[in-house]
Amino acid sequence: MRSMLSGRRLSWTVRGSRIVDGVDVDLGSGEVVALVGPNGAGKSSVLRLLAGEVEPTAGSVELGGAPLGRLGPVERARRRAVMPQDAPMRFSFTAREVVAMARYAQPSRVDDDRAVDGALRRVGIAHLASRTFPSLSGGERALVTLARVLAQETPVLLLDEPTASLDIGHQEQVMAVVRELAYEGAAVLVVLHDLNLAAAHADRVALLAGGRVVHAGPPAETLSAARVGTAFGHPVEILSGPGGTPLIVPARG
Amino acid sequence: MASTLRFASGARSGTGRLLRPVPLLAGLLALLAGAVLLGVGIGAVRIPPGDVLAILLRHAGVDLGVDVDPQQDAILWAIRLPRVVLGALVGAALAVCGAALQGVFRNPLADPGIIGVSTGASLGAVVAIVLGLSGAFFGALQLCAFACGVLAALVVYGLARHDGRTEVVTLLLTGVAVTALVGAAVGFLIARADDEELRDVVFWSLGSLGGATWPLVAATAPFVAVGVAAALRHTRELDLMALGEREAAHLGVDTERVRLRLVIALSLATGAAVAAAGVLAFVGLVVPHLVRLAVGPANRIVVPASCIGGAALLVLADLVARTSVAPTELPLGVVTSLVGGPFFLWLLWRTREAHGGWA
Repeated sequence: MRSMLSGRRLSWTVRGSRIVDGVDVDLGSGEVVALVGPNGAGKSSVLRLLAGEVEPTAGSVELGGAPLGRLGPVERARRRAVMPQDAPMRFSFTAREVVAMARYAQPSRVDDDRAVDGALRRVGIAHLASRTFPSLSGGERALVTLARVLAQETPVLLLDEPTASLDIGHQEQVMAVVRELAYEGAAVLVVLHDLNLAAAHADRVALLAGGRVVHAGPPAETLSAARVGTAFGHPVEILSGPGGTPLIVPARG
Repeated sequence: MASTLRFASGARSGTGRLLRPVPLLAGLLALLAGAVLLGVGIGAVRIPPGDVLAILLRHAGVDLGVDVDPQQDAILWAIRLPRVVLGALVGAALAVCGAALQGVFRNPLADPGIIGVSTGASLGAVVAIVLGLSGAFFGALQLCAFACGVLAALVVYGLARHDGRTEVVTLLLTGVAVTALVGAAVGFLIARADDEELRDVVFWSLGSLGGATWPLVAATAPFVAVGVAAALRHTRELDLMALGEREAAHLGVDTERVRLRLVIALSLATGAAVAAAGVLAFVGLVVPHLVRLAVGPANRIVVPASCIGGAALLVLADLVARTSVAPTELPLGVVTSLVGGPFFLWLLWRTREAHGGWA
């Protein structure tokens, strides 16, 4: 497995408070790594550091073997795609136009139509192509944004809670697409709020708390009752779900 | 907006767009040509369109062998045509700057005034008038207005930058603050001005193309060209910036550089336009919105269409200003506000009907 994206000893301090504290990340081609943790654990911040959106206070990021700092915006966009948590948009571009924006960094326009139509089909929203973005529901917007990320056709994908605004059916659909991409060789880092989605779909799970990685490993290993309970400050029970995937439920009563 | 429009277009495409780009651009070009012919033909001395063409072609070196009245020729060439051309330049500059700034700031209410150019230019003009510079040499007022307008924009941009980044809301609010400050300075100068100066100030600030001459056209054109060229060159980046600064950067846009470049080029164009014609409200707001309503928000169409549409609109507005209460003139800014204000209210109302407003 080739390392596509790695962060070494990443720390990020903002106005004296340490948001990310010595995090190591290694993302190889063909794997889905889930980043989980309580609110404010630093999940999105780690993603932003890896995306090059903010500079780490200490540590370094390598993308496809090159130091991130040496890559310009266009080179970065050819190597990795980033899916944001929310996608506000004021102007009424159509869904297809939004997806086509992903092709900005491509050296030629030749493959644009194929990539855009392919991404729309793959996410199952070809029928939304000519709808205007502001007229879509929250879930539909998330799917369009996912299609946009796919149309960028990068070997590395960074997804920040792609399932946050989706119903169960769409959640599974999105995670299935994510798995498929990894199967085809993409390296996927996905921030997830839902531990069960992480348990079911990720190859490895990294549990973050207080800006540090508490543990990283296979889902069943990382998501133990003790670790999750401590990290989230609430006791949990781990049941055995279908196919042996751990099923995390909060202890109640 | 989308749902009502889709109804209007008979659900043909489902995109809520009324027109295809090519017919729109062709229609606007025809409108501009018509506006120019009317603009140079109508006035105290009427020149029929055929004679207008003959005179224009003669100046272009093509003699149709038609008898041309030398008086008509002089009126058209020395008085009306520079005015019409200046109007077209100013209209194009304001509309393109509006379209591009709305894209850069992701704010549908952005207009060329938002980064302080207009008030800055006003200050320059008032200073020139009150200090008596405006009579000192040709173009002194325009030069002062231009310099102060561009300076104000750069001050706004400079104050809003922090650690090599600019946050859009901070930038807009900085614009508001600087505009208020500069407005206070303008007010102070106006309070100290005598009657004649006051009349000059009022006349200038209400907007007019009355001062149009070929040298003024020649001085304005290069700056307008710089602004329009920059906007045309960055239409794709402008599209992506609608997704937000972060997203555009993720997709490969060097947002800070593109924005700096656009803000400078657009300030030069707006500064030149305001210096030449005074403050003209609503052109930069109304034209791009109309275009987006017709063909959608893709900037590769919106920018050129706004350019042509803004030119046509201002030429027609000036025709109205010049002829509606002849022999005197209405201030051009009064005409653009009279047309633009109600239209803008309608636009707001319509947007609210369709999807609950712009919030």
